[in-house]
Amino acid sequence: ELIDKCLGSRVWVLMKDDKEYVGTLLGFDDYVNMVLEEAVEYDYSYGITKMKKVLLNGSGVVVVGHPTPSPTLPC
Amino acid sequence: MLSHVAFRPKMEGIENTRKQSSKPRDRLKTSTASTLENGDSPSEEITVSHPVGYLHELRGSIVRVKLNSGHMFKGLLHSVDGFMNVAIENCREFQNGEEVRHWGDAFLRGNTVTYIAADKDITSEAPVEE
Repeated sequence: ELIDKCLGSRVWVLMKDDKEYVGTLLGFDDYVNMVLEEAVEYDYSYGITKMKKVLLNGSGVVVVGHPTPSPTLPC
Repeated sequence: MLSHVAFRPKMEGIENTRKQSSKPRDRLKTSTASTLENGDSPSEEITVSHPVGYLHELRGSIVRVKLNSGHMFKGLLHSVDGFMNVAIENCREFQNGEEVRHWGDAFLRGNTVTYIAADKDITSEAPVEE
């Protein structure tokens, strides 16, 4: 129900392996698998990847929240 | 005088058959939730924004699958199931953006999958410059 409120808005998702995703929440299911639109993947060991649509595996999701203004990569 | 005789039995038979033909219509009921061929699925309505609907829309297109281990695979998505197990044709393995191996047909176990995205949907990649 809490995630229902985020439907259609920008969310920030943190995964177990410290990857972050920011995107518009299109839909999700009982296992918190999520479909994000216009998503950006922040992988600190690799870089940034922009995707129009992505399905995130719910088993790796740790936190779902509101995106911070501008995530910065560590220098 | 013969007109007084009403020849009815046959007419009754026709009426009975007409009533019976109206019954089969009740049996046909279109189901709102379509049953999916691959594996089990949630019972809610399935749309493209829903994970299951999104995966079915992806079938037949080139996808990029990232695993928890960091391996990335690109290929033609053949089929998916409710556990996010993925069957990919003409699969290529990428590490650090470079093609490492070329697999013909690959099966990726769903519990190791981080994300699945259509390859055409990847708009830009910016690796970190150290």
